[in-house]
Amino acid sequence: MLTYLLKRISTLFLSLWIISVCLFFLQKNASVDLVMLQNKARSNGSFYVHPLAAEKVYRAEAVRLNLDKPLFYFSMQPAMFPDTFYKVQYPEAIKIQKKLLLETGDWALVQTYYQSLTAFYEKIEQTENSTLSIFWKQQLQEMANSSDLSAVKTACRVSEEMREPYIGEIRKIEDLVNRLSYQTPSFFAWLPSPGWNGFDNQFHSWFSKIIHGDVGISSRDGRPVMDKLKEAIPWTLWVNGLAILLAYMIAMPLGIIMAILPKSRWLRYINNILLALYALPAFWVGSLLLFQATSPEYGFSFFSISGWSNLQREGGFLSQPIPFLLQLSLPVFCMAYGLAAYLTSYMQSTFSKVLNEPYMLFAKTKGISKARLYFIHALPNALLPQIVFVAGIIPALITGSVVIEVIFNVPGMGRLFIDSMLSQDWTTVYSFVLLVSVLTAMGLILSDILLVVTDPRIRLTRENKNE
Amino acid sequence: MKLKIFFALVLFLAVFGDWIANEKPVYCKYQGKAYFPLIEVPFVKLGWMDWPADFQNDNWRNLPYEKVIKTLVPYSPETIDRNNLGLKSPFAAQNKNGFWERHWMGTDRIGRDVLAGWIRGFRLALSIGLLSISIAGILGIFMGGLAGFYGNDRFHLPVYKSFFLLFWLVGFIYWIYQGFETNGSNLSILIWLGIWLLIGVLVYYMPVIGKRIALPIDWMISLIIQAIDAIPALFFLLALLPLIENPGLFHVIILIAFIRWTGIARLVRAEFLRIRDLEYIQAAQLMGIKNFHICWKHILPNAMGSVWITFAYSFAGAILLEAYLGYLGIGMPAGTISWGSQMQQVRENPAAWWLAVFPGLAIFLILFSLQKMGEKLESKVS
Repeated sequence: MLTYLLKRISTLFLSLWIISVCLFFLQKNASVDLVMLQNKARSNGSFYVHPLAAEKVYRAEAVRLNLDKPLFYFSMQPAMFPDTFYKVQYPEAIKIQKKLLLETGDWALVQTYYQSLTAFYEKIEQTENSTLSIFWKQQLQEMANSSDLSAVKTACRVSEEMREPYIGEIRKIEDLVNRLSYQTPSFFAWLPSPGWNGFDNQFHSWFSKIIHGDVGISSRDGRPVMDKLKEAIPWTLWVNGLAILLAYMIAMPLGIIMAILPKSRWLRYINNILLALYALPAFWVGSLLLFQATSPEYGFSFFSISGWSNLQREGGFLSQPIPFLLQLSLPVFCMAYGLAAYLTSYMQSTFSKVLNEPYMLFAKTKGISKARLYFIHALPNALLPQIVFVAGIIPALITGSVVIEVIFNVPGMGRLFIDSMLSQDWTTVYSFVLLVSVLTAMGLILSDILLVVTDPRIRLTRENKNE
Repeated sequence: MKLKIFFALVLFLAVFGDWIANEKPVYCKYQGKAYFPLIEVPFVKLGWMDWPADFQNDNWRNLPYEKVIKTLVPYSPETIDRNNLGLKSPFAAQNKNGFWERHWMGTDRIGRDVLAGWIRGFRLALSIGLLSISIAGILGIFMGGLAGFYGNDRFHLPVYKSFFLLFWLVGFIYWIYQGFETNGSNLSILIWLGIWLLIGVLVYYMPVIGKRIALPIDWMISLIIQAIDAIPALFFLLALLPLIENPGLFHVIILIAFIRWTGIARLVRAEFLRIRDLEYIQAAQLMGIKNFHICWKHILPNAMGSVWITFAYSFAGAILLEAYLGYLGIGMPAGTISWGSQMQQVRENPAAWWLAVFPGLAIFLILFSLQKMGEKLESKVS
């Protein structure tokens, strides 16, 4: 038993670690540039820097955000790449230098070329602002943004008098471009060169921060993501918790009654209705209900789309339970009806299965009263799978509650997720996915452990199968 | 039986929907010549036929035809009817000439026919559902079968080959990644990939030397399944989609398949675990039949019974996911007309009930019949 538990929990941690590695790399690949966003947020809106000057501006911020370190514990790149390629900052620079390197295979030359572009730019910066220098700045911007060497050549090829003041730099660039365009990476330069980066890497610091509960700062409004989550989680818990409670309260008695009743045509009809209820998409019902409930001419005005902030301000359930519950009623109903329908038929099938067990027949022949038979002997056995079932449906519930929260404007996790997605706030999005998957994995494992703890028969077969 | 008729109808709408709702007439006589625009589209695109210049302007509805037979719904899903802009209800008075021009399901905000979009929705939902579930099915049966058949104790490899396998896999991933980085156009990388595959084959056929150990295949695959299952489907989809530049239908299908294969794999694994210990399989193994043959011919047909049930339920799940995406307006290319995108418009115009009722009804009916089918299959299996 203990070994089984230990095994399960260790695989759980391993799979969560795998998820966090995947999410980390996804976050890194998200198309928004964190440093740029932060810089923009500070300079209030427009933030333009010449690509050749950008790296300096960029590096300071990147160091602050821990972005100047290798990504992972180890790295594997073609042998022609330098070990310290991660030190190149600024996405445009990385893109161009990488492309040039892949085409030519000579890192020293690529670096000299890029440095000569930067040197040229710095020389222009020092001279006074004339039309000529502005022209060359534009040309340089083009060169620095283009990995096509022939385009760089054409950018240099202008009339002699325009080249005259900077002739040294231009000659140097042209020379380097010529040398670069004759280079190709050798066959063996593509072989991987594995490298060990040690523990001082981006993933390690990100992961250790997350373990300590610091998931980062939202790039949208600069608030800690954890605070935002803490505000949102109670709402989702309320909606989901009430929905589960309501569903069980309806499903348990109904399922038992349906199992006890003799089989008839009516029972089949009811079963069909339950199936239909389960198949009824909640977001459809939600959007139809929303129209009914928010238009006063239909007589319903207990729900208001903007009523949430009121509730938030005035302290939720404890201070004003009735408006609170009324406000929650619609989303909870939408979440609950499908679940209730499913649980009813589930309860019905488990209860009738229990009723057909030999020990029930024995109890019946002993002459136990019906109430005692059903509630003392059958119910506990039928209830067990139901309770275990809850943990297993958590992922589906959370998925469903995203759309419901968006429809009814509930300030819960689902809406926060969609909002941060639409505003490209990747830190929030991915720490969110991580949190939800931790919760889900816990729920799944809890249901497994509950099942094993309560029913030794399952444990035996499982252990046989796993070993 | 009724279910079969319903699915046939859905399939019909999905396949021939564009011939039912289209602004191009079936037959028309224009400037003295007869055309069949609806059928001729592919031929014109291929350059095998010529149309008068007036036909190229996508102004099909207002051309002065001499004779015309229109389709049942004379609007394409994208057609903008300028006479009925701004959410015309199906029951409201509509500006139309002729009985067939009525918008039976009303119009949306920019005057597109809801019925035409509704019919288009069948094709989208069905293609996403069918394709993603077939991909998920193939992947799920393969991985689940591997995990179930070999378990943790039946895949034996010599120690040196096990270590080499690990080494080889890392290298393989590296070469594939580099291939993607260079868009598959670099000759050296393709040659290296070939060499790598050759080395793999060579080592595979090398003799067994030294001790043999069992690779825990079941444990590895279960770990992957557990990791993917831990992320709720919609979150997973929404977190992955924005990383793709210009997401399209294809990406959505692949991602849904990637989310859905685990459920199928778990079931297939359990079935394989059960069946591989049955006597007839052991007999087959003693007879020296190849493992692949045993899996394919003797285990899989027996396992498929319950796999079909999950197919039905996963299909329903995929259609629901697609509807969620359309409703949230994330992931699908802009301008895609689906049931979800039609329902999304209700959020801004709550009074336009027809935009919610009809697409929702279609989703509901498909989900319901799939559940019903699953239930039927279930009772058949047990």
